[in-house]
Amino acid sequence: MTLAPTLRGTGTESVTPTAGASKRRDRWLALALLAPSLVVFGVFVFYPLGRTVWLGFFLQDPFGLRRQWVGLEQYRDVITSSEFLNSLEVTALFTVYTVPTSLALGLGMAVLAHQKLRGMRLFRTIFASTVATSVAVASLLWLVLLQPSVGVFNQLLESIGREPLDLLNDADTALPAVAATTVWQNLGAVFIVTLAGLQSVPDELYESARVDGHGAWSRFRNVTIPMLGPQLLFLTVVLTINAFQSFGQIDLLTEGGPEESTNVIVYSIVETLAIDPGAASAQAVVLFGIVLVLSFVQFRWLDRRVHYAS
Amino acid sequence: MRADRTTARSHRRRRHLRTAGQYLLLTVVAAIVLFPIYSAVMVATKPFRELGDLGMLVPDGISLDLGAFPTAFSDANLDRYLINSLIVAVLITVGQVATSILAGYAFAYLRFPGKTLLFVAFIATLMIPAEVTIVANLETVQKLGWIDSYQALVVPFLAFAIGTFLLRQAFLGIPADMRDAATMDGYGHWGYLTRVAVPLARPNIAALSVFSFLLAWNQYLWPLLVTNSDDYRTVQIGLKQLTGVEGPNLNVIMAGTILAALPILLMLILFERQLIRGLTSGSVKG
Amino acid sequence: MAGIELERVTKRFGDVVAVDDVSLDIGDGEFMVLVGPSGCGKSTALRLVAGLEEPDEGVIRLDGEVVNDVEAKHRDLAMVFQSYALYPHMTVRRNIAFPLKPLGVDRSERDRRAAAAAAVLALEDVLDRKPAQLSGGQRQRVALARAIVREPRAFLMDEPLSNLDAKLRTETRADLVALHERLATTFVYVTHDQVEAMTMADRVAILDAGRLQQVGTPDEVYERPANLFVAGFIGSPPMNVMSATATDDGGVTVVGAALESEAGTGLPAGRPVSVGVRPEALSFGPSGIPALVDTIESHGHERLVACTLADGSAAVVRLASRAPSPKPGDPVHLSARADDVLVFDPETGDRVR
Repeated sequence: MTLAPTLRGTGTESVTPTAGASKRRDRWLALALLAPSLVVFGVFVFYPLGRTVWLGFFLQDPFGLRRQWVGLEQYRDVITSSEFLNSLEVTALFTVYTVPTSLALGLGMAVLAHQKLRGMRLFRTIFASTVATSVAVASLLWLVLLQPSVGVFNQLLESIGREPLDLLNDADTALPAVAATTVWQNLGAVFIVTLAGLQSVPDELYESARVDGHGAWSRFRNVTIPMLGPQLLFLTVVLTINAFQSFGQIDLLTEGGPEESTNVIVYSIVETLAIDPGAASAQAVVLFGIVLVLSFVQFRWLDRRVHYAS
Repeated sequence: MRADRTTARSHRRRRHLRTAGQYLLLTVVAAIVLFPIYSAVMVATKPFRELGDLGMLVPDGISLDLGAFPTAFSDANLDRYLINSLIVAVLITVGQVATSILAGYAFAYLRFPGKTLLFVAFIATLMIPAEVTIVANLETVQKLGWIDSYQALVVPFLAFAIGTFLLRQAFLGIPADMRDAATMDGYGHWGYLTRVAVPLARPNIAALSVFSFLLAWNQYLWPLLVTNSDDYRTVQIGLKQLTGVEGPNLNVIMAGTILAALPILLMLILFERQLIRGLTSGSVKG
Repeated sequence: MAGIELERVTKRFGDVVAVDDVSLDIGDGEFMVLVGPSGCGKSTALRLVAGLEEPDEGVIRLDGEVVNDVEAKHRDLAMVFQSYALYPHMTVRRNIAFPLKPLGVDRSERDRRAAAAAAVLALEDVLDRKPAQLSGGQRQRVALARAIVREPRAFLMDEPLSNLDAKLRTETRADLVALHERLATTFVYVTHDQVEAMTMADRVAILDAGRLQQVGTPDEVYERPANLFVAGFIGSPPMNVMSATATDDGGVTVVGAALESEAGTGLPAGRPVSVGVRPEALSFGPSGIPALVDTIESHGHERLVACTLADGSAAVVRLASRAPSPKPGDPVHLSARADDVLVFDPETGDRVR
């Protein structure tokens, strides 16, 4: 047994123990336990963030051979370039198309599935299923559905006597079509989160609203929506950030076209990356700023309207 | 009496009608949600010549043709891609679970200077999208000579703030007496972590594992940037290759898509509860 | 086996002084009960001995050895928690054997000793169950078995009976005393229940607001409480405390009526004091303190007669059930034997006689 050195017969006056041996051990242990995460975050999150801002100050050729300091000039050029402004607009539109739609449809499915009926488990699994699809899988499923000559979509149009459409190759319809695939892919996650929220609302709230004479719609407006506040806030923020990060669906479905109508920010960054890393960095920094401001504003604006059950 | 019985019966009939309506609505919505997947299965399992006719949406068994699957495997290298995805996703999952357990334990049980600051730093990683840092990360990976390697696909994802929070919460939920009891029973932090805390946090660890695997399997942008060789490409990138290689062969593309989606769909069916736990963990306060 | 010594130990949590300058000697093999109201610092004192907390000041010794800097796991003490703190994912057998592993005991020996500890507490039949499948009493016994399996130097118990129902609690009290005799090891036992303290302890240490009020055998603290707090805390119903005035002959008067006090108060005449008399030491007689009977509570084996004195204060008289009893509303006179009358300083609360 390891015992500290014996201090038999110390005086009766109060002795301040050498406190903190275990506290010091705690510190080293904490450092050791956090080290793996800190190293990864340091090397692959924080350092590259700073590095990206730094690279944005340089003009650079694609081979990294020559590098020239231009300072904020490059940021100014990026922000004012018509290509980048187009990307911003496309991304904003894409966000507006996808976020509210995903929320509304997913919530609707959750309300529908929040009932006690036999076989509900199966319906819930089906409703949640799109959460399992990757952006590549979702995109290819829709690519084939929307395929102009043999895709099911056009066959359906044909069968009701309409002209076939090439949605993904038409500048007016490409972005909404890509948005539709994204909404479909979002449904599962929105459904799961909102259903979990619904299930955490105590039945008594509905019963008392019912006793007070509120109909189904009024109960939905006045009980369900406020009680789902935290979940809807979370989803709004996450879906918005996701929309601003979209890349795969564009890469697979439209490659930014036609006529740049689907050239979202990240696609533009990746395209620029190969030819002008400095400009790509500046675009990425602007994207970061936008995402940060958006999530902050959403939190501030929505959080005040959200009721957190204690 | 009689009037009562009539009202009771009409009540019952109304309830039956309502239930039938609910089932109808549920079925219609389920059909719409499943339609892209259903049509993919039909396209993948019919001979190419039948495409372009709505009749192909009817499963008839006569024209069943599974030839698209072996083609997807052999011509488009999908077998290799699937194995790569499996390796990468398993490594990322194991790594994230391990680092999250360690970091979650530190945040839950240890007192050390700078704890709040470090916690904020962990939260901050969630505010920095990977898309923002790709330029510099690509540079790092190139300098390390990791292009076309498992390291490049795995190492940047070996820490996960959400996983850390999930496990911190799980550890904080264990009664404080457990820690004290283990101390009195002669166990230090490591003994308590491995023999008590981790076993008791199993539901959360399971949720994190499923969630991590899903995210890792479905990654697109990063694997696209750091792999050029078929030896390291993941299946998601393989799907992009497939559209290039197979061009108009929609049935082969769909077969490949189904193969890429199948592992995760199976996981959803087997571990639905854990997946839901992982997905909803971010949306509740605390 | 170990003697445990606390010397001028203080523990603060922020601004709260949980344990305030406490010195306490616990003898080798003694059953010491720390008792006091919730928040009095008794659990903190126990955790300081255990090593789960570090003292801010003072010294803690085990067998004369200072252990302030010795980690809990190296103090060789076992603890039973109020919640039992059984590991829910382990069987009873593994729970009991768990403390043996860090000691390097090999597997077969661990199993043998776990089985032996289980036998002491009549748990042989539930060895392969998980804690969730046990009754409250069984869980409590598993916690005890886990404590005894290691044959530690001393046992620390934090309210180990408070989660049991009343009947089981009474039974288990006797079992614990028997276990203490059998093991002949030091027990330090924390409770808020003075009945547990009185029935189980060799000695009782009473704490209030972090300070040690009195240490003594159950009889000592009952018969000769050191101060008004102990007088009020030990005994049910508590000691009657009445305002009184010292007289020049060394006695006291309560509401004008004289009460003898054995050897005199030694206080100047006219000095206000508090006198304490146990309910069973008061009796009704032809003379004494005038009072009115309020209510009579029958407990079967005894009756408690609540009276109001002329100055508005209350006093309870305990009567054997067969003794003649007044009725509510009756005027009575209360008297007590001189050696049953304790005198306290009303300002400090300390007993002067």
